[in-house]
Amino acid sequence: MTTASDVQAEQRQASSPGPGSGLRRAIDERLGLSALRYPVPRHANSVAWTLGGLTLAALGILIVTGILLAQFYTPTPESARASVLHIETEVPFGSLLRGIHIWAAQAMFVLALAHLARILITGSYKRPREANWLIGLGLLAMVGLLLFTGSTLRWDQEAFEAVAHNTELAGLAGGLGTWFTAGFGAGTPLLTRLYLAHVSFLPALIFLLLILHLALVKRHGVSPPASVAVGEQVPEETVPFVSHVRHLVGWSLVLLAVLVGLAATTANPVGAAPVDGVELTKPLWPFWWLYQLENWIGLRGLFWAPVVLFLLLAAVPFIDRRPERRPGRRRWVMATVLAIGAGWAVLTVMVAVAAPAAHLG
Amino acid sequence: MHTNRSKTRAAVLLVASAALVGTAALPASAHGEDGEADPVETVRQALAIVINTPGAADEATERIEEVLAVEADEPSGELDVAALEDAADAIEAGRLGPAEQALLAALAADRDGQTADVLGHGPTDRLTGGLRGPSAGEGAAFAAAALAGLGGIGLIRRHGGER
Repeated sequence: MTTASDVQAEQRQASSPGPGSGLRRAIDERLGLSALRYPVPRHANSVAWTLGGLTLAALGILIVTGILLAQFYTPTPESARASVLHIETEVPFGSLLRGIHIWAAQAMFVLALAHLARILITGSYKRPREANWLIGLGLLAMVGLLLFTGSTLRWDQEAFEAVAHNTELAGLAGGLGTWFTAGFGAGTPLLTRLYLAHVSFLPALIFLLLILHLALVKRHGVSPPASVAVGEQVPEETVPFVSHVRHLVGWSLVLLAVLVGLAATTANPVGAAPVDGVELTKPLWPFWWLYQLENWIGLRGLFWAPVVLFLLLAAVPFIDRRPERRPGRRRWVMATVLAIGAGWAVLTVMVAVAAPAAHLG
Repeated sequence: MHTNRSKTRAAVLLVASAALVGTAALPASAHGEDGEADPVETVRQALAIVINTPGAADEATERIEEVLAVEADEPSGELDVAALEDAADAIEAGRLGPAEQALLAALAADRDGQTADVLGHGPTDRLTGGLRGPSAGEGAAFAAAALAGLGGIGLIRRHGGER
């Protein structure tokens, strides 16, 4: 168990003479690494408070594997699918790399949702963290867009149908959807532009939002446990921030091992060349809830459901403004969270057990 | 008073989320209209159905019969009609592998080159998901990752806040 005095002891140790201490001091003088020994509450090193960092670790794995995969991928409709098959069958460790990338993308989505659920349950969106909650929702939207654009890149029937939906949705969005249509930049195929979004401006937006997200975490501190009300000061044991980083690195290594294990033991599907005029596939499972809404109410469900859901989530800190954080004392909020979660699960299972349906004309 | 206001806000949350799910009760909208069917495109669709939704192969048969009827009246010269008939027979017999090959053969006369190989891969080359055994290299990579994972567990045990 580490306390504030342990933090001071670590700082003393960092500046005390010993093997390599001169080098350590020289590095610290230039890089200021000892600044990372600032105290954070001990509960930061619990699983629940590590989910956000673990989402970031999944993003890191995605970036590394994505850069490697990009060396062999051809983002044109004529060659994209064949280049994915080439990666799978000819490139050394290509299938493993692609598998890690695919599993890491799903892990990032699940971890981001789990992080969101933890924040909802512990009331961590409350004053003064409302802005960071909104930034977090922006990050979740970016994760969804990265998943979507990534799922189109292999350019098989499923990817083709996803892009066809993308184009129809763009029509519903009016002028805002122009970028997503084939007519925008007629000389550059839509697939190529979706790829560019996947590897350039979506990651850039994620990094911008992440910097703001982390800066605000530093500004406001690690959110307290649910038992502590807004404005209440409860003394808590602390650990140095580097201990939190080491804890997170530990979980990240476990995540990496799981992802490599999954990638090494499962095959990555690549469908046949796409054909226009038929709808024969379902999207990636994170989008199944939307797919079922589309089954029921058509394309407008696909468009409006995420908009309404994000507006609803964005409104939470401005509706639930009481200082109380304990879930048992916030039953209406918990009921709403459970209702949304249950609805999402039911819609997902419905698609899992149903045959693909046609939606486009 | 304060509690009542909080309950009202919470009720707004609940109603809004119910509205989100409730929109599902609205009737489905219709999409588009059927256009002129191009025989080559229709055969490609039949092939896609056989590959992607084998359980709905009857729909592929419908498309093939539609094309056969058109080709009987006005041969396009872009399709191998005998191969198309073989494909229909194969689907009828539940032999989807030969049906796929016959449909590819029917399209072989297609002059626009869209069935040509790219990077050595044909249009119906594909990979299925599911479990598989790792290669030696992948096994080694997994072993290294597992060791790293064990190191990670050590870090978690040393620094974890919940023991």
